[in-house]
Amino acid sequence: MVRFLHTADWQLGMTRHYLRGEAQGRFAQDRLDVIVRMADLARDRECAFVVVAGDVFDTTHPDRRTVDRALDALRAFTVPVLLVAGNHDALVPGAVLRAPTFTQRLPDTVEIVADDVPRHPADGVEVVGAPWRSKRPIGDPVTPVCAAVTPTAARRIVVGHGGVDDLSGDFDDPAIIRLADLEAAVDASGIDYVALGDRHSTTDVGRTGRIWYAGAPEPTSEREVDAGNALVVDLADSRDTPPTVDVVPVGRWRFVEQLWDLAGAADLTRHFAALDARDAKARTVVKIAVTGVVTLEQASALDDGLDARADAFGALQRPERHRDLTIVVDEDELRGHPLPAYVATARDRLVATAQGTGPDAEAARDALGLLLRYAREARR
Amino acid sequence: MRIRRVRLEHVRAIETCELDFTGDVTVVHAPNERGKSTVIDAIRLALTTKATSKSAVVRGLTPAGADVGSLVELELETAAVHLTVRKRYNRDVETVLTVHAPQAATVTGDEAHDRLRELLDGDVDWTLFDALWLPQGRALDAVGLASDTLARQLGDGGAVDDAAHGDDVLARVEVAYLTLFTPTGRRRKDPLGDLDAHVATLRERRDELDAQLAELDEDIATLAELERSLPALQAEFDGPLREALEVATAAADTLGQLDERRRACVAELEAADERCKAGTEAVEARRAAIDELARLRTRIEERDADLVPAQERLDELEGALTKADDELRSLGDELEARREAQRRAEDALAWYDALQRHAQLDHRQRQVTRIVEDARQAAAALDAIVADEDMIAAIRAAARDLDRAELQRDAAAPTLDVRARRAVDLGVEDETVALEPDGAFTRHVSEPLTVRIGDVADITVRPAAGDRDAQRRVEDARRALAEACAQAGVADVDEADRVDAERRQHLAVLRARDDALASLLDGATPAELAAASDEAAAEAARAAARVDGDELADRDRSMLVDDVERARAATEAAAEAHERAQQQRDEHAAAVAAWQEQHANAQAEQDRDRDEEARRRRALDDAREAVSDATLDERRAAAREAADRAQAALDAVDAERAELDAERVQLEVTTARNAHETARRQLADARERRARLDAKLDALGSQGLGEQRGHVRAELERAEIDLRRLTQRADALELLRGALLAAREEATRTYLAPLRDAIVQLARLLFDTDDVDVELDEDLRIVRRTIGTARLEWDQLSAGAREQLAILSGLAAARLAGADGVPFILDDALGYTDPARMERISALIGQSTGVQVIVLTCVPERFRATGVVPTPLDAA
Repeated sequence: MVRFLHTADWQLGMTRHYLRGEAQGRFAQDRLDVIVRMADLARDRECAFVVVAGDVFDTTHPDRRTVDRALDALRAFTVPVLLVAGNHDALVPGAVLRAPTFTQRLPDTVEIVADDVPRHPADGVEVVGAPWRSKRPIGDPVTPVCAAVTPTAARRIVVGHGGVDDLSGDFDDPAIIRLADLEAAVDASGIDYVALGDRHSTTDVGRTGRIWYAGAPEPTSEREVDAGNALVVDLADSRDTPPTVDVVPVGRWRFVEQLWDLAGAADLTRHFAALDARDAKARTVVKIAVTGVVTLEQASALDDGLDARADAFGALQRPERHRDLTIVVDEDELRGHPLPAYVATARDRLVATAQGTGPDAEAARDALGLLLRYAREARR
Repeated sequence: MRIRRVRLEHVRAIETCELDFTGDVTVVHAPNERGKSTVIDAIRLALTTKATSKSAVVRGLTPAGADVGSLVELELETAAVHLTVRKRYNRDVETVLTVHAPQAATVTGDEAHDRLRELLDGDVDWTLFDALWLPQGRALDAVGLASDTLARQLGDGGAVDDAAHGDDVLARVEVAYLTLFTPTGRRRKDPLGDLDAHVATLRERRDELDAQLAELDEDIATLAELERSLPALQAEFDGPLREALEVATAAADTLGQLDERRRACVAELEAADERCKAGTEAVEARRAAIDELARLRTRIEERDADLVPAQERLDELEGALTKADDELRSLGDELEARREAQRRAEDALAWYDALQRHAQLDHRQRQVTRIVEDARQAAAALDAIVADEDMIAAIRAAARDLDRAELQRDAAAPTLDVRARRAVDLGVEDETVALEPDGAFTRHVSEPLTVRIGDVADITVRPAAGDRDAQRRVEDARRALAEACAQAGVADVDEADRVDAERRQHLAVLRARDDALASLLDGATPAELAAASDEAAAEAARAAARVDGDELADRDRSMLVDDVERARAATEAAAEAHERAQQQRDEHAAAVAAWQEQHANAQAEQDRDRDEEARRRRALDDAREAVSDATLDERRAAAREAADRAQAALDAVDAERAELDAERVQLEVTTARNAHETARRQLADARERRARLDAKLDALGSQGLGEQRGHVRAELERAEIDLRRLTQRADALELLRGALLAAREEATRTYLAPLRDAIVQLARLLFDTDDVDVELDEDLRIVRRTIGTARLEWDQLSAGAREQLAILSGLAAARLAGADGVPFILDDALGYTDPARMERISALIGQSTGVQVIVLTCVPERFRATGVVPTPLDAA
């Protein structure tokens, strides 16, 4: 049996616009820290080697500091590590995976697989890489490599990168991996395992149980289904036994998408309570979409509540304007706040504007929200 | 609140006083310093200050020098209560509050005061009370009437609290607004402008990075393409291109060998041709030398034949020249003889003219001498005459004056006419006039004249006084005449006339002398005339030496002139003949010279040709001795044969080259070389480009552009979101602030309107015009007044207008306050108002139904129009 660690899509140097202040730095550092945790995992689980299926870096031209920190993190591995280029860090001229500033400083345990020549990181194991040599390949980058190898007695692993047509639904992309062809090649060539990268959600692809996306070790988006893992893969001595894949959570960040359907103040209270109850807020990104019908008061409370909690979370994403949220200007509600006569006059005019369809309607709603807030403060 | 009654005892100057304010309007009058203001001060004190107070104001109530308590008793009525309060200050202090309605009660002491305040504070607007109390002079300031009561009456129920709340809201909006806007309404640079600029900077940086990365991608693609194309290019360079070049080069080499052979054949042919040509030229040169000798001989012989007649012609011409020389000499002698004859004739004429000229000048000189002598004599005579022209004129004038005087005397004087009847001697002065019978004696009498008639009688005729004056004038004239004559040195007028004629004659002589001398001298002086005469004499003497005078003795000048003319004509004819001969001689000489030159030239040419002939003959002989004519012909034939052989060899080589198609071979070589060179350059270029791109991409690769772009894009997105949010907030604040300010302004206008209308209504009556208006500020203070087009600020108004408007605004406020109001108290106000306005204001005060007005004045007549009978303070 041979055991190895399959990971991919580290996306080092990735930026997110909604990460404000030190959150971006935390996000970047955690992407490096997870490498060290995976090194620990490989050591703890006695993995013979590690394959990284592309997108080690988020760009072909990362910042020097990112490169330096990546090199530092890679030194944590005590077993051979094979890095295969993906679409984000393709082996184009000048790219980081070709740059002497990176390649010449790599630890001895780490090798960049720049061709499809088989490597032997462990006895009885042959690893064939299918690296991206350009950013826009004109064909399936993995299947031909699989098809080209001939069956041997060794356990054979192909490491590649790219989207699979069955999952992405994009059948027109020339660089898409044709799953049917890949499965046929895997069978024909006696390949034991295809370690894929690109999809950030951990995924067992197809029917064979031999083709896996490891997923990103730290999540990057709320759209990812099961990110934050590394795969510990066991290959039996015989190809007849399918590989055993252990999905090990390694990530610390969480990306959450929520839809708040508001029908009154109670809903607002409930959602805020749930938000407050979340743990690890500093590494949680919550993307909130709001729908329903609220009063000006409630809309104001919604914005105030989100503002008050924004700094506690990695990010609290919300639309700049709640387009799907209907804010009703309830005159009774407004009259519930006794206002001086002339202020009331101004309020009534703003209400009329807000209820209209003129260009100032939105500004008038905002103005009413501010008026309510200042009136409350003045009463206090 | 209405004050019904007030009673004072021992308050300042007032010993006792009681006033009843029964109607709406009360006019209290008293002279100055009799306690009018004390009444009002005491009312205020009783309402506000405890009886136990020891304040300076309270202590000031005690009359000077008295030791008594000061009593103030006040009966009041409000909408809710009717009461009497009695307070005594300083001594025998007491407070008694008696409530009459709604429920009778009496309280004393401080409790009474507190109860009083309790009862009144609910009903009395103390702010309005202060505002409607116009002591002397206060009306000149704009009085703010803002008070709870008025605010209620002006239709803004609860407005005071609300206004404060509203202003708090507005203030908060304003603070928030000013964080984003300047006070003038422009959006602030910080934060809006700065954020906007930050977004712009980030966009610019993002675009730069996009461009750099696009260029990077392009370079990567180019490099990939280069790496793909380089092996193919190298293979083509090393394979087909090199092979084609070698084939073409081999063909070119063969062609080159043929060309080498051809060049040898051509060289041989050219050498043979050269020899052939040299042989031909040698034969032709020999023939030319022979021909030239023959031509020279012919020319020498022809020239010898020509030289004989030429010599003969020359001799002939030289003979003619000698003849012309002889003729010319003969004519020269003739011309000299003619010139000598002409000179003699001219000398004779000159001698004659010199004699004549000398005679004329001598004659003129004598005339001049005579005239000068005459003039000298005339000048001497003139010098002897004393009387000059003026003296003569004076004598003649004196004579005319005497004649005129005598005529005047004779015309005016009596005349004594004596006719003798018989002969009688008349004694007239010292004379005796004998009269014959019928003889007559007549005498003008200008002086007493006595005529003595014998011894018969002396008749004295005395002229009248006028006659005597006439006679005196005659005598005076006569004396003047005598003096003039004496001065001129003449006896009388006749002598004067004679002397004058002489003087004129001498003057005429002198004038004639000048004219004659001018004519004779002709601008010269007599000395010059004499010198000219001497010169003429000398000239005549010189001329006489050149002629024979005897021969010319009988010849006159016209004859001598004719001689000269004839001699000159002969000279000219001889000169013309001599010149013609000279020309002919020169022509002959020229012809001789020309022929001599021509002949000499021909002879010289002949000599040269002979020398040349000899030289050429020697040269030909030498050449024939070296190489005979036959040998030359043989050599030429041998060279011709060698040339024919070389031509045959060349034709054979050309036939071989024609088979190879040199142009095609050359074209193939050129094409192959060009293709090879182009491929080499492409290879070098591609390698250089690849090296450049490698270096560039390595350099860019270390700059981290991709991650930089990620950071910039993220920051840009954040900044854009922030900017949009901030802009939305700014829009909302701008809208909210605008709405609040507009509503506030409208509310203020509405709030002020009733009071303003009430004031304007009164002002129309006061100023007797409908075109009057006032503007109030938020404290209900008049800030400006407009009548017609004249709009004046409060401070610009006259003192009278200001106090009138203050009264009107107080009246209007009091009317609006109605039952909730307080008394409107005028304490000696309206000191600046003229009688007409005063009367109107009084009338308006008198019409103030339902409003309590208390007027304190020292001039009650001014308030007559109120219709109220003034109450004297003393009477109270």
